[in-house]
Amino acid sequence: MVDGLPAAEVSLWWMTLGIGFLVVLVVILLLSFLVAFVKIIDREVVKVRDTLRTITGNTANTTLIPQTAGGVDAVLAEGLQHHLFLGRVVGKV
Amino acid sequence: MTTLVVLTVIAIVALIAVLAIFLYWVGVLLSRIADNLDDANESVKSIVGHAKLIGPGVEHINRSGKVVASALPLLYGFAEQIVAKVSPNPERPSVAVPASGTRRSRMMRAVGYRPDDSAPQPSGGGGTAVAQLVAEAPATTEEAETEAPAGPAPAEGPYGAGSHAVLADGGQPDGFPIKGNMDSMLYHVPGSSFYARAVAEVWFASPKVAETAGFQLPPSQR
Repeated sequence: MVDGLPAAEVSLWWMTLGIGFLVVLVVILLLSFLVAFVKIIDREVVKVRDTLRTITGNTANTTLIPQTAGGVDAVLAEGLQHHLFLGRVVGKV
Repeated sequence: MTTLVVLTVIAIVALIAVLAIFLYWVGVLLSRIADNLDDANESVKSIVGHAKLIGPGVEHINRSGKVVASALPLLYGFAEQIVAKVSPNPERPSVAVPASGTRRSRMMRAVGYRPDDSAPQPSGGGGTAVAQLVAEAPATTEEAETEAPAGPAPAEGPYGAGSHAVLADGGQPDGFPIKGNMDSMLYHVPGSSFYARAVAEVWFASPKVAETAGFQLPPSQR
């Protein structure tokens, strides 16, 4: 008897306490793996985010395309003016 | 008994603490991942917005560019017509073919006579005399018509006024210092590098007359 408990129960309690601490260690190990995997995911997500930011900077220049189209239209209008002028002049030379 | 109870409480508290710490840690990491994914989502939306401009814009440029490209030949045609009308286009004088001079020089070469060749001919002193006779004799009736009448100097050469046919002795006619080569249609002025070596097939009074007759300076002297 130990403190009013049978010796067999006391032994069982100690064994249970040992298993409990072992479970705590296993939980720590498994959660460490989980944190490591989440850190890997975090690093890769940061890479994806940076790549997308770079792509956004590059594609921002596509706003120049409508301006370029307007410039080409201006060239076309000027060429039309030249065409009309030369058409008027060629018969008078 | 007390020791067992205390150790049991410690084990339970340790388990709860470990779980709480790891849950907080993983929570922080997942929150950061969520923020980064949110940024990536915004970037993707921007890229989609930018990409929407590409198709219509390029199509617009392509359409206008085709119109410009098809209009440029028309402008070029107009410009060509105007330039053709505006540019001076003088009628060039028709160059008379100097039949006598050409045939004479070829005949001289055929018999081996060179005006500047002072070497004696195989037949002795008579070679030069024969060559002179050949040079002076009209080859055909047509040639006789184009040649000047016999005299000290022809009044008009094979290329008209200002030109002179070669003399029988190969010398330079007075007042006609320009050498003309009818094969190459080049003329040589005195003092030029080719003048001494050039064999005159026709003489001209001036470079202007030679150019009027269609002769040109050698390319290196233009």
